[in-house]
Amino acid sequence: MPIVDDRGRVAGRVNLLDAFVAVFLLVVVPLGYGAYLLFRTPKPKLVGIAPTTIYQGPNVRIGISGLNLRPFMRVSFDTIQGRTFLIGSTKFAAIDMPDLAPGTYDVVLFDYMQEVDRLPKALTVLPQAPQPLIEMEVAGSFLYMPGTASFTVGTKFPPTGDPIAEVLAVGPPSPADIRVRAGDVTVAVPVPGQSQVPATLRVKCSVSAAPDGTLQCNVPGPRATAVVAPDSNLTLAGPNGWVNFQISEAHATAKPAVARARVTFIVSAAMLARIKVGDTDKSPGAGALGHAAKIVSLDGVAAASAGALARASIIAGEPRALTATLVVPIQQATGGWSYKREPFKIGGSLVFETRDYVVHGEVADITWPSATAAPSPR
Amino acid sequence: MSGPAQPAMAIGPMGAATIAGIAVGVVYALSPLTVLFAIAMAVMLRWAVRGIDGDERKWLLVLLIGAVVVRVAAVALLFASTNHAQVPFGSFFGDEEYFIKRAIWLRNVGTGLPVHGADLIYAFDEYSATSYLYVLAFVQFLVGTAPYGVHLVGIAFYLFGAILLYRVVRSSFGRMPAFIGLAIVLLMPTLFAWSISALKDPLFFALSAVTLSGAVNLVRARLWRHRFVAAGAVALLCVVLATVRQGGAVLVIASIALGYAVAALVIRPRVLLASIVVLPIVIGAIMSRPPVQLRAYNAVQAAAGQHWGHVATPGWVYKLLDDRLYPDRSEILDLRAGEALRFLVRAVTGYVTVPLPWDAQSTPALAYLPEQLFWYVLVALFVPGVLFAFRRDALVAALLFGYAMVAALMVAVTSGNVGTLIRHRGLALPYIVWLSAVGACELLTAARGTAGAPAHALPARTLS
Repeated sequence: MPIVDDRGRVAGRVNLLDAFVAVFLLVVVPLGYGAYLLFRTPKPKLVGIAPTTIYQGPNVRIGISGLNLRPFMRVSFDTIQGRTFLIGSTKFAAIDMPDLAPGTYDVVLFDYMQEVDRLPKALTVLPQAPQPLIEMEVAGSFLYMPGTASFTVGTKFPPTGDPIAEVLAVGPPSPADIRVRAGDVTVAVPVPGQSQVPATLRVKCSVSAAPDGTLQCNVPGPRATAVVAPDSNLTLAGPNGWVNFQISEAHATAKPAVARARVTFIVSAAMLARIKVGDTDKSPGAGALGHAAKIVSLDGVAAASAGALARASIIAGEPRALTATLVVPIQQATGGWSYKREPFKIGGSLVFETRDYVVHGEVADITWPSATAAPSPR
Repeated sequence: MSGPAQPAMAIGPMGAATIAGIAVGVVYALSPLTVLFAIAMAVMLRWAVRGIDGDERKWLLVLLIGAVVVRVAAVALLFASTNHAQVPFGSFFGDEEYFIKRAIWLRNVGTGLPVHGADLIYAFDEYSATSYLYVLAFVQFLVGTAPYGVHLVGIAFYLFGAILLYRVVRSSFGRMPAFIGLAIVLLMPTLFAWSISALKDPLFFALSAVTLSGAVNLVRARLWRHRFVAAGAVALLCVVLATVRQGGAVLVIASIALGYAVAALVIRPRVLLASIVVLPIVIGAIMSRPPVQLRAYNAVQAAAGQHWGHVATPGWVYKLLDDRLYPDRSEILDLRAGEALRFLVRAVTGYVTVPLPWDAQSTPALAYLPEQLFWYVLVALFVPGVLFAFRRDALVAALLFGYAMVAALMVAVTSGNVGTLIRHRGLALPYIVWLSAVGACELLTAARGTAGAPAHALPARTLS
């Protein structure tokens, strides 16, 4: 007997098509449905994120809540992928945020490369408080330089592109010493075999608030930003690699106003012989280009009065009162004008220092800059 | 002047017994543990050769006595080479000194002797805490402070475990594989080193061997009450093992479970074939559940974290993770799929191959090289050995396989320091060697062209 007869019946009993239909309905469909239930991976779903509003900036992490979250998933913000997907459970994960510009973003959940869920406009990135970029002038020295190395005025750091520093003035190399902070004191430590090149730079820096709330200006470096302040070390991209520049003083870049002042110095005879027209103040705080007072005339010598002697330091030999006229670069400060961070006023004291001498004097008269006929206390 | 001349110094049986008694008394006074160890060894050797005759008995005694002698000699050498004017006692390994001191401090606490406040804190420190410290403390409570005698305790535990496995394996695989395996377990340098240590490793090995023997008896015992006793003993030992080594119970339970499962499949070829088909499907179905995926992922992360910690230790280390994960451990929290897979593959290959002979960086590493090459031979013989062993005694072979695989896997995915890997490979080695020995014997037999079953082989056995 044939297995399938001429009427299409299997073993003479069941119609072949009926058998196919029966097997399909009773076996294949339940089996398929069972396999579907068994192997179907539950669809992941995003429920929410927290926080929904963040401020632009580094090191921000958000949490996402969802259903059926799995390892190796990814979350993106529009098209920018989150740095990590730190899954805590099937209902929660933390995401380290990428750098996002201010705006509103869709939060998108990916399983491998396939988008599986999306929360439209779920995340808002707010801009940071504005941080102005300003320019300052700093005096100091390039450190650890080979004996003959130097820089020319106009050298830029970095040499190409938008420079963050430019050399305004440069001095002769000298043996290097660095100022190192040791506890509460700063110690100048010689560096044998190295030289330093004094210079004045114009630097661009970004203003930010320090932890104590004061504003400070920062110059970016290869590892960390450096604050513009005395003894701070800037690391700059020079023409031949990174160079170090230790700041000794910092000023605003605006060209200082110049006053003309008559100053009475109490000097000894030996000092009198050394003071001459053209001497420039070299004392700390006056090292930057255009920020040093200069003697323009010597107006006369007289015996020192008792009051002047009392205010002056002890002078060896017969003390004299030397009156000199100086041009003094001054800056606006709280309470009026200042020179070397000290008030600059008639009757005030002034210390003038060169490589050879240091003299103490009293400001007898001031001719203010033409644009500011009188001091403007603030 | 009559009668034959007698030797002036002749000693009769009574005299000899007296001298022996005095000698034992002197030794006992100096080191009670040495005398107790000698008694234990005599009992153990008698048990080891029970039911074994002829040349096999002779060679077995030579091997065991030799093993005992070289171990005791090593401890004696340690005693002789230690300058006791500078240190209270010598030790073989860095951890041992701390370990022995902790046991002494615990004994002092137990006996009410005053201890320094710092010692009291260290005695109960969680770091390296194990119940074996209390075993050593109790032994020293009985016999007094014995910083060298505790090595004999470790030797006794190790020899007990080795002999127990030898007797189990001999009845299943035959004389020669058992003897070769025992020789390797007793003489392989790193196993020798750990067998004479005062650390917890010898006790853990001995108790694990007992659980393996108990797992065999649980299936094979003819009387149900014997099976109950075996089950109870295994359960009790699992509890004890959990106190000896962290995760010790999990290690043994997983080993026995794997052994039983493999044995059940191996003796039923049709079920085995069906399992080969069904297993991937079942695994796929289970792994499609997010909670299961997450649990597996967390386990891999935890293992990777332990490996990272080992890599951060001083000494000779090796890396299993991608380079981006080493600078910051927290990066492991974001382990990617490919990285996890590569980590697992490298872990397995690293367990077998590290240290690579051409990476030897020091004299000790070069000195270890011959054993590393021997390890490669053992691994090469392991695969055919498992297959041949299944034909001889599926249950014992599967249990040895289970103990070896679980220990190897746990060590493979957590190690990162070469020295630690070599030490922890000692957890799997005592089980691997018997199967490799079977492989060696069978391959040698096949190479000789001997027809039929080898002379030293026993008939194939079923589960029970």
